[in-house]
Amino acid sequence: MFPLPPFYYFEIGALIISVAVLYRFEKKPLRWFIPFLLLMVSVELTARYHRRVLHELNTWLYNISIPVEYLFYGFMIGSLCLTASFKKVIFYSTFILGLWVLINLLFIQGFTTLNTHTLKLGCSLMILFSAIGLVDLFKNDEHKTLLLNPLFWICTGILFFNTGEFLYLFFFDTFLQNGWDKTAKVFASINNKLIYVLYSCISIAIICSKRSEKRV
Amino acid sequence: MTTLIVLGTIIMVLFVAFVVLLSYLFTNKKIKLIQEKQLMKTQFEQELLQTQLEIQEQTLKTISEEIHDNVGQVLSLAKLNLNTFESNPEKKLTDTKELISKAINDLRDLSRSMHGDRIAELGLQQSLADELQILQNSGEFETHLYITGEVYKLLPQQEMVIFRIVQEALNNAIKHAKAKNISLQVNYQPEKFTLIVSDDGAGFDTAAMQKKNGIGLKSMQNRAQLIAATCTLQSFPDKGTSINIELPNP
Repeated sequence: MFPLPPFYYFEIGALIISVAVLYRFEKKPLRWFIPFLLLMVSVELTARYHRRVLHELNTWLYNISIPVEYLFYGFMIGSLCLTASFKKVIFYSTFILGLWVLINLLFIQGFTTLNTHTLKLGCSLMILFSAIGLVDLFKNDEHKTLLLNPLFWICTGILFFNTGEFLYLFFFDTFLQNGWDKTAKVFASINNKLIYVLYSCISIAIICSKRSEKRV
Repeated sequence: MTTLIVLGTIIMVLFVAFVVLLSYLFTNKKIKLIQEKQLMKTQFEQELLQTQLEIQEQTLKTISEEIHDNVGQVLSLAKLNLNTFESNPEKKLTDTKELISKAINDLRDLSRSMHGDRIAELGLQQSLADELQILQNSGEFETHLYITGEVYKLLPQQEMVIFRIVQEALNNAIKHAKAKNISLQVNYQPEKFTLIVSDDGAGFDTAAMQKKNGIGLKSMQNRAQLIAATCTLQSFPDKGTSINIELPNP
């Protein structure tokens, strides 16, 4: 179980920052980062415990937590966007993704097999949502200084993370069929580094949100 | 295959980095422009407010001067006549009646020329003609009104502001320039409206006046700015003055 790989500390760090900064925060959507990050840290630690201590498969845990992650990011970007049509697109797509997750879990790929269909769809939607978020930043004059804008940092983090995952996820089935362990290792390394980027961006977004609130 | 996919991933991540950087630079530039625009708007609003206050002050000053120099004088004379009524009652009574009538007429003229609704009601052309007629009736000035082009109606606010500028110019011509001939040339062109107020008065050195920061001219220019018009002045010592008001896209 221990020592934990560095990306865990990035996640735990983001959780601590969110609790410290957002505990008495007035802007409601951002406050949801506290339970979300708590859930993510718990899932990662539980998954590691299952794998390393109990020597059990943890696929079922990721089949639940990764879709929650997608749905949360969809909700967060949709809430922070200012353009009504963008909000609609994101919320409807997130809802459809939620339905798909349930259908896939219950009727297609199940709990024990990694839900690759969901991952592909979710990853594509995350890239789309973060692109929409960035376009919303272009479009709306109400957004103030960009570096203090949580939407900018959240979209940047999600965009980097999911772009890095994109090709890996789309060729995942091929990797499994051909037993390319080396490729999986390379991608695990890329994925870990992208987790640093994602959680750093989330931490910055949380800190910025406090600063921007103070400015207001 | 693995190398290709890793390479593809790296390229995609780099591309995203490029897009994010571009979006950052672009949005920041846009935000800066918006902030500059906002600042300019605030400054313009402040200037506008300042101008409005100056115009209000100027208008009150004009009314005060008009009452003091004209109506006040006439009524003082009427009072003097009444005080010395016993010496030549019939003549004094007739003179007093005339003086009071003049005071009433002067007040009526003042009220007419100050009242904005009346300008909107009569239209710019008629208001200008009336204003010149008042000067003509005094017997001290020769006035001319020339109108060229196909007459069209300006917005009420534009007519009002132009009329006030003309009043200010006429006031200057009478009080400071000691002019005898005053003319208004109104030119209605499809792409612009121009009005020239010219007199044969004393004139002055415009450069010296600008250094002194003449309030009258500044006030006329500020008024013109309110309706997106321009007001320029040409004057030479002993050669009269002409004031040109130009309103584009009327």
